[in-house]
Amino acid sequence: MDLKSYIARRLLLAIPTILGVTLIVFFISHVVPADPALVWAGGARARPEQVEQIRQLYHLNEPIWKQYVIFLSDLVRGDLGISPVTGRPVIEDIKTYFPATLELTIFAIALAILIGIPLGVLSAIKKDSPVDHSTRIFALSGYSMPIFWLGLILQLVVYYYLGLVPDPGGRVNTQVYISSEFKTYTNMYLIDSLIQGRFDVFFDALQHLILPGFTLAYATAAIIARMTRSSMLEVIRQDYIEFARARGLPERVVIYKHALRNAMIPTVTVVGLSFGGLLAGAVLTETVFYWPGIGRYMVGTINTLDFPALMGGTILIALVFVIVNLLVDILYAIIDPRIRYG
Amino acid sequence: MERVTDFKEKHDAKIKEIKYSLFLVRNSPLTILGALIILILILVAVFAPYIAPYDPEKTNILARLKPPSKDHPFGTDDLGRDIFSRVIWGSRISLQIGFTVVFFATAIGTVLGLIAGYFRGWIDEILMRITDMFFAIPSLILAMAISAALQTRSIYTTMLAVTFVWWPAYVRIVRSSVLSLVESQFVEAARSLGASNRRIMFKHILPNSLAPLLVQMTLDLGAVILVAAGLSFIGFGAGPNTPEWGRMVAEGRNYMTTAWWTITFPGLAIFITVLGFNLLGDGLRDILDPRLRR
Repeated sequence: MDLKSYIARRLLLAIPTILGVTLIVFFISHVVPADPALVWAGGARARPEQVEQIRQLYHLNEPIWKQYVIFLSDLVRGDLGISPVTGRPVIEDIKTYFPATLELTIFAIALAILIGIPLGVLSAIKKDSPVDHSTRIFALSGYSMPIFWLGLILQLVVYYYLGLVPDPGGRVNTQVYISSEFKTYTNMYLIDSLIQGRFDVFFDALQHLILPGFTLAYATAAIIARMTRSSMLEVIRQDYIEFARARGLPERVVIYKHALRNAMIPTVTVVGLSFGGLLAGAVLTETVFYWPGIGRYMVGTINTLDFPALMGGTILIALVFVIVNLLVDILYAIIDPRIRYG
Repeated sequence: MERVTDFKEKHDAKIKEIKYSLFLVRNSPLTILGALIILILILVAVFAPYIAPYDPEKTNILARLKPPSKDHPFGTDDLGRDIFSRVIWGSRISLQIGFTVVFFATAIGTVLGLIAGYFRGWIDEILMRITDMFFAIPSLILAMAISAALQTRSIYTTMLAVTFVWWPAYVRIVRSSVLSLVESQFVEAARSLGASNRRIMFKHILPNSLAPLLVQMTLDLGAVILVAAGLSFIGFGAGPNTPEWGRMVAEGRNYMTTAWWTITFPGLAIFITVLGFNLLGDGLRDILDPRLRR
């Protein structure tokens, strides 16, 4: 199979998964609640005529399969319903908050890769050394850490006690932001500031990103470190590594050029799969750091009983996760020809 | 005496295996540490009423936000409740959620996994597609959505929501070990002796796929406790006065700059508990994995 037809096949296979996601969200939003209309209208506080209006608007009196068809066709048009709290279409809110989440998660994944891969390589080539043991403890702590607690403790120590970072809360110092003619194109401040050559804004945004970024990255860094370690150990045992050594290549070249490249393949998959955990972690991280992203938006809906907003956020996150894994699969096929021909 | 020798001879291989496993456990200090943490935790949960010096829900406005001292080893919270007692009682809630969710998820997943792997065909296809759907949504997010749809908030809603999210993983694990066992000779032998499908599934296949299941269950106990604590931190789950660890961190958050102990100890309790299950699960995997054994 050549690369093009592999990608086409993989894209087609994503369709049932996406449909499945909509089916689950539909089930949760239309079947699980005792009275969906009441939930969609904002719970106990909604007036009876509001509930009735919602019932008409979302066709909640129709047979269940028809409701699903309507739900799907609304979804395709980007209609996620109207928030009973703000009165705005949910999709508009999501557009506002999503770039902040994207910036945070991309930053975190980059940080996780930068920490995880070197640690994994180091502990594989120095197996059973103190370095290896410390990495194991670092990784097991990462799996076990309540992310919201880590965020709070970091704030307490790094900001309140040591004063090393600016006020944890928000993405950029509002003073910097308002006082100047700073334009937003992507709404990801790191990118926007670079485009305009505004390094003051860039460094300010970066300082705001450090703590939430590390909080979110830790668990993923732990997973990447463990995966890199075990696949490095596997690769180092192979004949071609022995052969490279026998040819008299320096150890550095053997490890980084021959071994690491091949060991990276499983790590790429793990990065894709751990993106789901990262998105879930973003919900908690954003709550802790007052980060105005989609996660904090969703948590806000819990107290205001803004059900359409929560469902919209859920669909969005699931879609992002599916798309990221699709990209990872394609990347995988590009770096490892065995996948395509296998 | 004869009977004992008989027993020894008959089960010689098994006894050797168990002895070897124990030898491996002895040589893995981290596994022992994990087991110890869990053991202590279970004891603390069982004897909570005798260990906790105060009523975990009793407020005392005069003693609010007191730092750790001899009377209050972990200090007091904003309502003057003793944090040490609350952390002790909280172990009951976390363990209860962990064990209940893992039990039901395993039960549902095992039955469906056996069916999918044993009968294959359309039923396998359908079950696998359903599990695919679940894997496309991060578990905490899915559990949030279900908790919201259920409308009520208690630790039982949390259990229900997390179980709903967790069972598909077990279908996958059981199915894959069934697939490798179904072709083996002992299953063939049982079938040729006329054993029923149900007997083959539960008496022959299931006992042989217990090892990976056990490892997963141990690791998941930690993971479930972590997700449940997260849910409770953002506002789902236990009610206002309940000594639930995630909730305690959320409540202490507003006072943390002046009273670090309000968030530190409940969070540490979550961390150590989950670490215990992860150490134990990680160790069990190395011990039970036949490829790593010899």
